[in-house]
Amino acid sequence: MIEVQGLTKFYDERPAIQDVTFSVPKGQVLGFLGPNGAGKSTTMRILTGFLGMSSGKASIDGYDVFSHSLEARRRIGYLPETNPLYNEMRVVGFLDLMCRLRGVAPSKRRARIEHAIDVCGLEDRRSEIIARLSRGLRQRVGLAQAIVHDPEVVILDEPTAGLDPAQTRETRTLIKELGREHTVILSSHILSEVSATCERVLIINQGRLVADDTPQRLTERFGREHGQEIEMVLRGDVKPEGIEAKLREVDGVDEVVVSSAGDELWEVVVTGNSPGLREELTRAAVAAGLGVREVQAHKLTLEDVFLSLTADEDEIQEQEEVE
Amino acid sequence: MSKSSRRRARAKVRKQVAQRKRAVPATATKLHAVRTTRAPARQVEPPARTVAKAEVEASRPGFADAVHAVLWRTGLLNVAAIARRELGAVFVSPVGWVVAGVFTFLVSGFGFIGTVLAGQQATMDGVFGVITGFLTLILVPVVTMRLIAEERSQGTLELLLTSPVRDWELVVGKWLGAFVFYLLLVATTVVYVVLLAVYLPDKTTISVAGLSIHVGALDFGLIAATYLGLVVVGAAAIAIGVLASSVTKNQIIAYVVSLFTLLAIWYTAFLLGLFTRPPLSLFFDYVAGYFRYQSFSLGQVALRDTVYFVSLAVGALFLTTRLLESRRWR
Repeated sequence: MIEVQGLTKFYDERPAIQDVTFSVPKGQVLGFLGPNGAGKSTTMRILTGFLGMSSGKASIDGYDVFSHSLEARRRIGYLPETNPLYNEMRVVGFLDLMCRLRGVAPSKRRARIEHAIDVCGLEDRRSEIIARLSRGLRQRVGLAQAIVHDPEVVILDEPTAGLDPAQTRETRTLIKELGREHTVILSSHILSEVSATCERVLIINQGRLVADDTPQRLTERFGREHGQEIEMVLRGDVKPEGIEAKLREVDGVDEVVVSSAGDELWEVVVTGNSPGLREELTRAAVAAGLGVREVQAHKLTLEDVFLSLTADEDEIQEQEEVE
Repeated sequence: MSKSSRRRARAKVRKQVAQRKRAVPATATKLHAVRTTRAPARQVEPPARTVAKAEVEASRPGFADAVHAVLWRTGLLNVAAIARRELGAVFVSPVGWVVAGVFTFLVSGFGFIGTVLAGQQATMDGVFGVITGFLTLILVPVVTMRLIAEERSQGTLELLLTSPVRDWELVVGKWLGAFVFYLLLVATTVVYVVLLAVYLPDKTTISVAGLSIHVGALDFGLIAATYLGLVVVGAAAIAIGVLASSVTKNQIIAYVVSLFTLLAIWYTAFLLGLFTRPPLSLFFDYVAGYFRYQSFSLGQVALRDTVYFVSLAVGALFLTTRLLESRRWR
């Protein structure tokens, strides 16, 4: 549905995105993840035909976004980052205008508007002037205009930015619903959002793609490469050096840090890499005459993957120095 | 065991307890929230969906759709939609009403009371003077300054140009919206033609569609020619305003740019023509908008003057389109 090949865009001399290549099959919900200024909005603006590219190709449903811009634009619904709306218009009037501009046939127009209003939960605000709507409601109007003409591709730039938690949840539900009928690309710098809504994640940093996989596989793969972290609370009259020595004997353990957590209580952080690490560690602790109060694997989140993929070299160094 | 480490342990325990406490209600509220948000949505959805379906069935694609499909390809429907919104926006905003109010006040004050009643001249010259000297120069930029500059600053330009709207459709639509507003303002002055025709003591008889009407002795040909001139002058002035509005996000800058551009086109070349000799002065005389609409108010509908203003309008709109397109090349 969407093909992007070697897309590069320079603002003056500064590259905004460099050599971005990906393709999205029909019906997929794709998350575009990256820190602010990574090039997410630029990529979306090129896909929607608002900006041109410096080099590379992008097409929607086979129509090149540059040379067959109009055909490509007919197939997309787009919610820009700033969610611009005509403030002086009423919700229905605005959606009607958007229908007209996107060439929805007169006989379908009313049904399409009703559908968008229904899906976005704007039923009781349909005649409200847009300027009087709250931020969350404006966002819904923005979503409604993006889907009102029943586009094949829906492109949402930071759809939940600035919403409160309840609104964010509603929006996510809505996006999932959209994913059933449409191909959706959404950008975000919020990880939980992407892992909750998207089947696939592209991580972009400083204008380059650094990862492209499902959220689960990304965390799994990253876990395999970087190991896991296990926190234990042990109790017993054993010296910290003794605990450390015992636990280090367990297969797959890389690092053991023991710190006192009170009367004969020890907090232990183990990093290592093996499937049954928690069980092995528990056995070793019991064998050493320690009571095991707590064993917890620190679950790797997409956030860890994201942070490590997008962190600058000097940022990593800085962190190491602090530690 | 040191004091501080015990404190740390207690803090840790407290933290753990708090975490556990938090964990339970968190899931509870989540479930609760899901239930409350989902349940009413389900109740509402079915009737709404059926309504939508019923409408789809009620209005089958027919003749209207076929016409729409043909017209849509030409881009004229987009032009109309954009112009309609623009006109709506003018009447919603105070700016439109202020412009209309100021214009009406000046026309009645200077154009009618000053010239006709106080000056005892049975002419429309005062009214036309207000339109050319004030409306097309000072008020038109007020209306046009926001056209594209506001779209840029509000970001709605992105919304329009990522819709299947060609750049020229946007530009012409914007121009048309302001132009219709201008025509409405100019049309209000027809009231004074009627007043003159009814109350002028010198009467003549004209025949309209076989009927003889007794009206005031006015040069109706001259008035009609002048109105035609005002239409093309306004078209050009608004096109220049659209161009000025497209170069900036700032409406004040857009206003100043269009005001000075209009001043330059209307009067600068006229002044230069006074101080230069032919053949240069002939060039300036032609370029000066001032002379061009002067000839309309002499009752002449000259092709070259019409061509002058129409090409000014088309040129400005073309340049605006190019400016908008340039974003894709940068």
